[in-house]
Amino acid sequence: MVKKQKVAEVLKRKIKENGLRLTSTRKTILDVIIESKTDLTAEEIFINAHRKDTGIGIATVYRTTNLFEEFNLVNIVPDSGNRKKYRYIKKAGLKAGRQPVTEKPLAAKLKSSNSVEFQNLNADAAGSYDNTEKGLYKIDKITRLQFQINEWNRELSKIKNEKEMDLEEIINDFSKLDRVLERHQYEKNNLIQMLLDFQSEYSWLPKHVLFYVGKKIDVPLSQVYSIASFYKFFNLVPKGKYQVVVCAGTACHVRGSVNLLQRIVNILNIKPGDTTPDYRFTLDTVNCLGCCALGPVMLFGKKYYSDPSAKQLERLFENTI
Amino acid sequence: MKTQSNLRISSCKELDALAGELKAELEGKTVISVCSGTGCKAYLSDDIFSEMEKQLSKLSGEDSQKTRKIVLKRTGCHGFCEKGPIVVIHPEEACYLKSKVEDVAEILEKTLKGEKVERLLYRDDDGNMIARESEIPFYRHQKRIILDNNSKLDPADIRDYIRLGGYRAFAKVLSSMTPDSVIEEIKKSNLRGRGGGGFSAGLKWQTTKNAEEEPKYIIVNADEGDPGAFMDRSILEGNPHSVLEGLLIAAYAIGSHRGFVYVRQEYPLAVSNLETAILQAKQYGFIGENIMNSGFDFDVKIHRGAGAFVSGESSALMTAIEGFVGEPRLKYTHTAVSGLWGKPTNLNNVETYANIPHIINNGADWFLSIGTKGSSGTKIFSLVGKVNNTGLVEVPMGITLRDIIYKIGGGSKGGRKLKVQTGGPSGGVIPEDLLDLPVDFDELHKAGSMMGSGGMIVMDETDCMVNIAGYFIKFLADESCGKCVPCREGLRQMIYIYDRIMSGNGTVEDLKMLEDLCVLLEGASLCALGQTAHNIVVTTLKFFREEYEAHIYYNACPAKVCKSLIHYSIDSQSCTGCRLCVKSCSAGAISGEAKKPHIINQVKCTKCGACFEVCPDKFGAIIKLSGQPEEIRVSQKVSQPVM
Repeated sequence: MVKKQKVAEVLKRKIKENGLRLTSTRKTILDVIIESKTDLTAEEIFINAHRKDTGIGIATVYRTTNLFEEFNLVNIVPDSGNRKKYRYIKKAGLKAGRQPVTEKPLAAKLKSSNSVEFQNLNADAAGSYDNTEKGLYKIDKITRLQFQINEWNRELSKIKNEKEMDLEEIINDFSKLDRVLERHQYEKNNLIQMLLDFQSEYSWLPKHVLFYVGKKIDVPLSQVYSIASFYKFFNLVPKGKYQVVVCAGTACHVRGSVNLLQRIVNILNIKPGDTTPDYRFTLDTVNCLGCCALGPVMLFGKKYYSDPSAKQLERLFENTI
Repeated sequence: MKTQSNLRISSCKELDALAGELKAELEGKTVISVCSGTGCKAYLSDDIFSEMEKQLSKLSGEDSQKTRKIVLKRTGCHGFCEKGPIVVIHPEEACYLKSKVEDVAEILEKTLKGEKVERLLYRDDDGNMIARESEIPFYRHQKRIILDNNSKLDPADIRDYIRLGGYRAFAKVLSSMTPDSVIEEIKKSNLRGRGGGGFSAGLKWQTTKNAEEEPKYIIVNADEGDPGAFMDRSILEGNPHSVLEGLLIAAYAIGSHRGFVYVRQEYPLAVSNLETAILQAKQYGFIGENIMNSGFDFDVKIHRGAGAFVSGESSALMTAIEGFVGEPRLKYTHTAVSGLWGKPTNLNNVETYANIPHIINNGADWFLSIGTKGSSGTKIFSLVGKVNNTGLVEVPMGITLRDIIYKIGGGSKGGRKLKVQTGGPSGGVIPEDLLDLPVDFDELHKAGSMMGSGGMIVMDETDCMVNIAGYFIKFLADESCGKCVPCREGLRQMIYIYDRIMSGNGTVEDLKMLEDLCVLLEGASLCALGQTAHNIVVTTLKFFREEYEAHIYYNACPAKVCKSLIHYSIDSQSCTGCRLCVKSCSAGAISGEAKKPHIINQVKCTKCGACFEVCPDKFGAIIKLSGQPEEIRVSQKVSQPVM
């Protein structure tokens, strides 16, 4: 164990010497590869790494493993299923690595950098401001990219902070998923039914679930995702503890469901489809709840409310903890 | 009584014997049936049922002789949702409306004595009491064939269905009819698909049967996505066995051994009742191998949909069952020839299947005697909106819209002028002066609307037709799968136009553009979603053009619905300063002291209408006004840049 740690230490130093920054993400992924007793596919690395750091996506894993490969840190072992498997090279620390690149191209820098690094870059760009058309174009491109990256980071941290616990539970225990898969006999054409069952289990579909299912029944992730995003019932983001559902069917519409919705929006301060920041309430609309005689109707928990007034609503939401 | 292991029924005779046995069981007993359809459940009918159970067991503890004659039953939807929860005592048919948990003790007490709780019975406009369920005007003008059994049987118990003669038709078909003679009978009855298309069911079966490839599949389409329509759900929830029986007969006729029921996930009760029904049918040997020793095998599976309106389209539904995204495809060949996994597939609606046992039992001639020449039989409509008796109605085809709305539905509150929207998002709006149209497949089509699957939404003068059309177009655009361009882009452009008109920025060219888009959508869309989307636009433009013009020329919404074109104001003369509206305002826009007239801050006001609803009728101080309020107009002028 001590020896292993030592190797890791040497290795990490080596990486630094090669001109790579040893970010926490890369460190985690490397740890996963070193710790594993067997060869791992990128997907397996992802699942393990995700347990340690929920911010790691599959794309990061692919990128990092490619980088490691380039630096002769890992070996590629061909797998029977035509997949790449990665194995850590024991004496990697002693081999000569790739020559450090002095100046990285801009795109690559943007790609591999995290947000902190990016802010520096932006400062550079502002410093080297030139008035030529090309320069303006460059800055415009950078601002746009930065905006995009900030957006991604925000999204990531949002899910990370608020649903970390839930997610960890799901990732650490795929046995529930296995049970559902078993019930549907691992048949591909039951995919929608499986996803429905998962959703009722977890109330939303984390990407890990989609990923895991796709792998198990051998359906490409793109197809799983296309189904999960096509049907209205599936949630790809976590939902609040309580669902506030307003019927927007025609019968309720003519009886004033728009006004009811507006009232709820005023109180909860969120748009339909959104969740309150404290993850208590999610506001949704449906096309028909089937109790048109009650319209306009709101479903809260398992109870139906016929045209509740603003005061009733306030009391209801306050009393629900 | 048979034990669990040998429940299997192997012949017609055994089925009859069982039915007789079950009938005798209930002889001379009083049945209390509590409606537990979704509508009544929303009114807490479950609480009533459990309270009854509790009190009954208490009573039987005291005196078992007394309660021996009472049977408690949880039944499917009775249809009269407006007055739920409904409790009916059979065989007297005493129908208690709007019952509450507190009434349970009294109902039980009086029932035991053989009396009626008069205060819970239906009263007509003159205050006359009507004791029997079937004599209530809402039911009297209907012809209930499919829905009739809903109120008599427990959907979770197959024996109730057998008691009422269930699976008799299937047994008859298996024992004495050939597949061809079944198809002939259905063809003769002129049963047309109840899902909206109106295609002859018999012909469809024939095509599927004649298709060469094997195996053949059969599907029940229970993906009822129309907002404001719940006919199929009520059948599946209240009488799932009738659908299964129809499915079995159809499967036998076309020679299919594998069936699917595609049902919406949003109908949890329907899914669970159907699951129970299939399980029980398997126990009794109606589903499985060598059914009733006839050598016919059949298995059925439930496929839950996950909320996509477009998946109700036949080819999209089949793609969804195959495990892909439910998008429609071009139908070069009919699905009856090449459907599920490229095999011949028969697909019918829930209501179509529910009709079949009745046709087999009573004969095609009986069926032809109901309804009109072109459209025989009955049709279920969900009558909702601004009508007094909301609920589910089953009427013979050919009845006029006016009869449905006024005789059964009881007209509108306050005697307003009514219009009706039929056929869900694919249908159109029919104005008051066309209400004498007979309801069937062809007549409504001529008026520009359609019967569709049976949604019927009643509206009055306070509904803006521009807003309603915009609402449906938004719904369709949301639900469009985006595969074909006319539907995806055309509907989006329509939304832009409607938004413009509703915000008072519409132009005359917009109307022309709407009409052009309608022609395009009808001609170039891939599936029925886009092809019928124009109905709502064309009918509203045809019958209610003046409303569109008022929006465009005068920036006014005659019905005072479109938010950008109205504002709320307080009449200082009639306001007494009761502070009700101040408390109700969730935006904090109303201010004022007690007993002094209040004022609405127009900048803060979100126009949610809460104050308008809360203000007592006797004051009527809050009024809707056309146009933008003075404050907003002034602030807009100031903020406009000087250019």
